[in-house]
Amino acid sequence: MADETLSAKPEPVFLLEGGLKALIASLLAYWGIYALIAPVTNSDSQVYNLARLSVAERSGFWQATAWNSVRQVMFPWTFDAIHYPFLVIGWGTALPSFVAFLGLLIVIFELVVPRFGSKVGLWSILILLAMPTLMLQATTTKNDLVIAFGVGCWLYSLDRFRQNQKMFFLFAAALSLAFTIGCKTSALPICAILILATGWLLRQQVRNALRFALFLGPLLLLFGSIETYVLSSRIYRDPFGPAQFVHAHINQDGIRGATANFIRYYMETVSSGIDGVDCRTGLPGFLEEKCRWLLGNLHLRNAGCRVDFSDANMPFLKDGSDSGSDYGLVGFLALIASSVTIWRLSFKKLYWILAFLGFTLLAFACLTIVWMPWNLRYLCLSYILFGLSLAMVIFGSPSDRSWKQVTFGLIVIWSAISLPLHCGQRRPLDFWNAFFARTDLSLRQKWEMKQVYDDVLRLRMNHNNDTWFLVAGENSWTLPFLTQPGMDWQLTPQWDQVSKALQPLTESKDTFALVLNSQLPPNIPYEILKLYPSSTFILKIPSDAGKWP
Amino acid sequence: MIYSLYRRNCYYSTRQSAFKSKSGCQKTFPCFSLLGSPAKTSTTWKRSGIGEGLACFNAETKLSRRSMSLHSPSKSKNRTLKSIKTEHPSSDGRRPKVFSLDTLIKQMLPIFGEAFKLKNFPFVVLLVLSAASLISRIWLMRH
Repeated sequence: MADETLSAKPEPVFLLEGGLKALIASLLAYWGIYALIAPVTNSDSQVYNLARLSVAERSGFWQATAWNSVRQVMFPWTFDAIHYPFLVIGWGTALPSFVAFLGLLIVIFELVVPRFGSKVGLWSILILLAMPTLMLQATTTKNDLVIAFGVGCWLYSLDRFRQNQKMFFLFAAALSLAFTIGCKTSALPICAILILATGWLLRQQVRNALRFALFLGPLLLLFGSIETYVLSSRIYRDPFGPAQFVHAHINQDGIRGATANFIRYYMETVSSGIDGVDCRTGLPGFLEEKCRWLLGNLHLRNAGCRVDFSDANMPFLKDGSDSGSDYGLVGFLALIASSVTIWRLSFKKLYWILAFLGFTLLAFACLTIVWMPWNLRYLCLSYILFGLSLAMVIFGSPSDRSWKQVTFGLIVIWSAISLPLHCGQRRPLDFWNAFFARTDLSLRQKWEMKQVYDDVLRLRMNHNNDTWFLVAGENSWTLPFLTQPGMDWQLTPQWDQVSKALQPLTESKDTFALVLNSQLPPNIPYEILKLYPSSTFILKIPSDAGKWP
Repeated sequence: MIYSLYRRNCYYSTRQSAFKSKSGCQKTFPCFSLLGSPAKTSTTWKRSGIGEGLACFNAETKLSRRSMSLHSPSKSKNRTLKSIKTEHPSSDGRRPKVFSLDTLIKQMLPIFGEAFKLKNFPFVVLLVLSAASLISRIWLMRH
């Protein structure tokens, strides 16, 4: 006796389903292996995301003297801290981002397939695999894509809770939000809205709503990165960091700034899909010029930019580096398709809702954050939603192999396969470099650091027992030096700290200082051993320097 | 028979709004909550081997695949539960008096098995990342 509804065979699916699965598996294997073997490559991690873990390890967390960047103190570190064991062993630093990305793919697959079938589910995944910024973020140590994972987990937990009312899923929803809040400051308002949305969804189940609140409270304490807010409050008298710094990164031009930023992001995303490291197409320059012209005509010149950028100095980065990429041709098509979809006002269609949510998040980013050239990674969640909306519009129709599906399918497959070749930092050759030219790969975004690094290693071979000070400025790449095994450093970002440290030294030992992006000492005698661009030096400080007034 | 009870009391609804979880059939289903038998993860009907004619069914998997939701009239819920309990020899509501390692392993296995299912992978990632973060932060904040 069998229920016909239950035993019915699944509907015929796209004939290429097996091929798509194989392609997805191959691409994920490529990115997964890269995540396993790659060193830390992105600039932010070298400066603060991961560098602060080394600072905390050496000098402690609850101190105020060893931090060399305000961003090491003020930004939440729940996600950054996950990398600590990987930093210690020196491998797999990108794995947390990659497994979060895999989790996100499963969430999307599990949410899409029951509603639209496996065909749309597989194409949705492939669309994400074809967007450069998403894949770069999935294989880096930055904390932008994990926001999308957290939001996806929250939605998936509530969906599963609705199906079977297991308390675990309510707990998972609360954990997702608490974890996401602790990952990035910009996730705070998003998660606040999601908490309210959870309350609304559980409005008829008061007991469950209370349970969710009871879960969320302690989880926020555990995973909300409360300690960074406390530390920031102790050091800067403000839990969100120095007022000047925060002010400089918030859009101060209101709607004008938001409109200008929207235009910049929109035009920045225009992509031919074939720009690579050297950007030979000239597309970025062309887009910058047109954007400048449009903003000028709309009287929006320089509105919404960070103070050190302007429309005259507005690079649209498409070089495929960690912080300098767009969403490729597929991302651009997804944006265009969502722009058309949004005007159809099909409020009950899921693809419309996704496009609407994508634009809402984009508008929120435009309104709150100043424009910077590397901001496209903030829009990961928006482009994921645009991509899903596109997959539903194109592949959700019952007729297989329409010209739209075939054309777009080929673009997606080509983009996904060719993506590593266009990336500045994830090319097949980098697998070799990850083993045999690891430092080169790690320092590629700031190549001038390579010489500094080599010179420090060479000097320390002979002077490793001497005292070495690290005098680092705000944007210094300290991580390569701090993670070097067997290298002791005195973390002294201010020269007066060096003076104080020199006074008790009575032995006639040589003392050295690595100065990164900082001024030379005003009242300490020194000899410049090496001189580099960007106020970077290796100094030798005489042994009697402590006796100087 | 459970199967016939199930058919009589439940029906499928493709409308999501018709889903009422508190009185959903999954609550009344024997495989998970009442029999305490090893998880039946098959998506097809199977004999559970515990009671004559008992069938087990992974309702959640089936439902999520078919985008359907189960709904049971609340009036019949208690009767269904009662019937199932009576039919099953070990479902008298009392805990076993002796806990052995074997029993414990048998109880834990389905939980670990759940963790390895693809659909639960996001939760595993979330839990692992959260735990790793907590341990690392505590370690780094120790001084």
